Amino acid sequence: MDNTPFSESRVEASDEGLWTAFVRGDDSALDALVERYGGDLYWYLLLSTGKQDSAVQYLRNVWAALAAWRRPFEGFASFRAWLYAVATQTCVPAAHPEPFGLTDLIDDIKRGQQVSRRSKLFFALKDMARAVRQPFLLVVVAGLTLEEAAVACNFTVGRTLSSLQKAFHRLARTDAFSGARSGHEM
Amino acid sequence: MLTLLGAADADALAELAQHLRGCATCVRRAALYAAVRDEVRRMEPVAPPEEARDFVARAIQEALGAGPQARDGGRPPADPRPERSFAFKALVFLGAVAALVAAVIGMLLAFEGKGEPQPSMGDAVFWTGEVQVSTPGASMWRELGRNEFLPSGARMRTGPDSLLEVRCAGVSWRLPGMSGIALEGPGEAELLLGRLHARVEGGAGGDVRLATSAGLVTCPEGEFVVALSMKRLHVGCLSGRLSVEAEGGPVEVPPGHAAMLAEGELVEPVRRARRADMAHWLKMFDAGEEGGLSVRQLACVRVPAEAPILPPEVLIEDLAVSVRARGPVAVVSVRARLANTGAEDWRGSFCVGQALLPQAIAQAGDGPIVVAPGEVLSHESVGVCLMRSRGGFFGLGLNPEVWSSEPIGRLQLSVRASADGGIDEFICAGAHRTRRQQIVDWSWDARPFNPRQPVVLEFAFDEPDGVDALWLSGERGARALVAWRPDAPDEEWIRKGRNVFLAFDAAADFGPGGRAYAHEVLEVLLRALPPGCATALLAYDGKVKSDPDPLARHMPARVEAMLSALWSLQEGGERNTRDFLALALEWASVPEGDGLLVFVTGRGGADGPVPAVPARTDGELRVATLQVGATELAAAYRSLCSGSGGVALALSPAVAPELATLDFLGNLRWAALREVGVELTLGRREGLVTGAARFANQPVLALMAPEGRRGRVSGRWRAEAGGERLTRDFDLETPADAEVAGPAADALIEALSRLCRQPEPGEG
Repeated sequence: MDNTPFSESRVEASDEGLWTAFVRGDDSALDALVERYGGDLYWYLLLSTGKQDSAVQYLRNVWAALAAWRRPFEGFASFRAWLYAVATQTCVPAAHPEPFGLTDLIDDIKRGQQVSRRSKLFFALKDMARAVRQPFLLVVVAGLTLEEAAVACNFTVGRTLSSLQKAFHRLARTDAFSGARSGHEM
Repeated sequence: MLTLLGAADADALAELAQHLRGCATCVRRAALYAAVRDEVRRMEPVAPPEEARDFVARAIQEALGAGPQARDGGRPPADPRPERSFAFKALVFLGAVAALVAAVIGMLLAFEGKGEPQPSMGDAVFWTGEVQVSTPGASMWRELGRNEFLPSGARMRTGPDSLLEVRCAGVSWRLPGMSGIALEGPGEAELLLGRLHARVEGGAGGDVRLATSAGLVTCPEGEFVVALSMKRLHVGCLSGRLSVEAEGGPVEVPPGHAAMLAEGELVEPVRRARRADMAHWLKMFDAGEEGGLSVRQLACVRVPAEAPILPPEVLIEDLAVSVRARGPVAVVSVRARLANTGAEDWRGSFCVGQALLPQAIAQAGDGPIVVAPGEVLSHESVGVCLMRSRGGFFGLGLNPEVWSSEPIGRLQLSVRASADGGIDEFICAGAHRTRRQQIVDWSWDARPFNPRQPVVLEFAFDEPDGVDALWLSGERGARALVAWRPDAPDEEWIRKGRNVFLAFDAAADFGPGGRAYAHEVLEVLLRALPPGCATALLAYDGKVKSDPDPLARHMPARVEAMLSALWSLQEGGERNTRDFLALALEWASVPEGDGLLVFVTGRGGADGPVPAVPARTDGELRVATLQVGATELAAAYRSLCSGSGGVALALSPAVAPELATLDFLGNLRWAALREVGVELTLGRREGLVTGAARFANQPVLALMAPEGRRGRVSGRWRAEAGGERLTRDFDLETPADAEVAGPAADALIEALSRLCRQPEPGEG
């Protein structure tokens, strides 16, 4: 992103304020949102698909969809909730979810650090059904509330809560979190 | 859970606090879940690749340039509505079904009988499993029938575990399960879903065009594979020339390369193919439930079309093949009437099991047969089959091509065996089972016969003592053949917790195409290993590279990680097989417990004396060697492996990697046997005793001469494997119902006599 004073002042603006500015014709406001959410959203998409190229594709699709919409968002509590709802309903639609992949991801992980812990998280997510995985990622990774995650997944709150419990339970049993288990389980 | 999410109000928190004071389980669970949450949030995220920024910026600019609401006709990009109740969904579903039924009835009424005659766009030359067709004007899907007329616009689809091959104007379209194709014209088709493999013969009259939702694939000549998943198009060129016309421009895919496109653009540059990119016909199938291949998949193993037995102008009017099998021994009779006008010299050999196996143990009756005009050809041969075992069943493969080339008229195949031999009777022409239901599965169906596809039978071999006897009345006296298939503990070598060390000598000489084949074998092998074992990887490509996470539990994700490591190995490293083998032996000997070292190398020997397996006191290390690309196994490897209770195999790229792996795993199981023996008595006469044998999943054979009398075969067999000693007595009536007489018996006796005299390892 550019480093103009205008851009710097945007850093302090709320998500909703930036979106409103974009709707009113300020294209750079969308750039600020992309900058603010680009990395987190990519991480969420990567964890959702397990494929680097898919995550990039969906990252592009999500922002393109938002740019094309250019209207106030309705039915969502916040821009963050709306953004992740678009990402969830775009990249992992309930009707035809793309199979979770690991091949490309492993190459990516090998270049990074914390190989063991992060790769084990991916492996654990791979074994989860989409209906269990997405609420977990939305709440724990994207930081949405339970209600926001339910809306993003088009689930009821009760089903979302049930899915979360399953995801936590399964992750707690995996090797990736054995340290957490030994440290907290009596 | 609510507190974890920060979503609880004050009342709920107070209620929760009250509950937690009396519930230790919930306290522990909440602490555990909180720890998991914190662990995940502490992880450093993976950053998007550098090019993602431009990728996104370009997409935004395009979207902004297209104007608001250009996408999806103004529909919001996310729907905030929660899911409907089950009752609502059921109501909607019933409504949709009613509307669909009404539409189908309406279309049937509208189109019935109004189709215009059109030329056929192809012939379905082979299919198995569930294959359906939908032709223009008929609108409904129905089962594909014999001599099906396929007009332009005909759509075909395959169900699970199904195969389909359609030939049209010099093109073979081959579809595995869960795929669909629409035939548009000569050399033109559309891939509706799934995958296909196409072979385009030269001179097919212009480019062959395959339309997909992600681009148009064109090929003037060659062989290619295409996979369509969602909106992603994956193409691989095996030979010839291949290009893809997509929105982003044309993409040329050279032989040996693969490309992936999404939304009309290359996802990554065209690269050298790896793994399943270059899947050949067999590899387009997923492995069966037990990690092996089903009989239908085995039936798709193509045998090289070398030297067709009969000239193409010769037609076989009637052909009957009967197989009488007793365990590992089969008697095959061929009976045919030729529509020839002159004498035909049939020089073919019939080798039972050839379709499935690198070679048969023994075969007989392969001399020339001269058939006079109008004469009924009758030929009987006897063979000992090395049969593949799968889940306790045994497969018998017959390769029709060895006795005929196309066209072949009508084939009747019957299989018969005595009541205790496993197979009672099987008649392929009618595709029905007999009462005994001993045949578990078969690849044949009452469908057009393809002589290039072997017929595979799978049958239960459930005789309690596992001993078979066959009476052979030859011109030079009678013999009793006793065949015994020694028991080996199930999956002895891969018990849970067993360590499997994989050492890949990537700098070895694999011969033409051997390196890619080695990777395929390794991939199949890794996928075949059971999840209970622990695996470790060591490789040499000029430098020794070791596994960062050795002896981790084997599971699908682990396989992917190991394959990634294998793909990253360099080519052209300095060869040093002997030192690498020594290092691998040392490396695999360190961990405690029983282990298996699989040493994968190329052709040629070890360039020096092969090191010995290190002595251990805390467990047993078995060594197996796969010589990829070698036509002959190096004697040093055989000695090294057999001494440790392992196996050594020479693998030719001509053998499908799945079958090579099946051979390897099967042989490994039987190699666990350290001592076997059988003592036989025929009537009052002592018979032949076989001592410790060299096992490669083959039966122990004893050939007995009863001096012209038939008698009762009795005896005792023993075996020792994994420290366990087994002994069993048996007593067989002379099997008159499996009698073989005449020249075939003489040929078999001669072949088996040689086999029974086979020297033991280290002998002579």
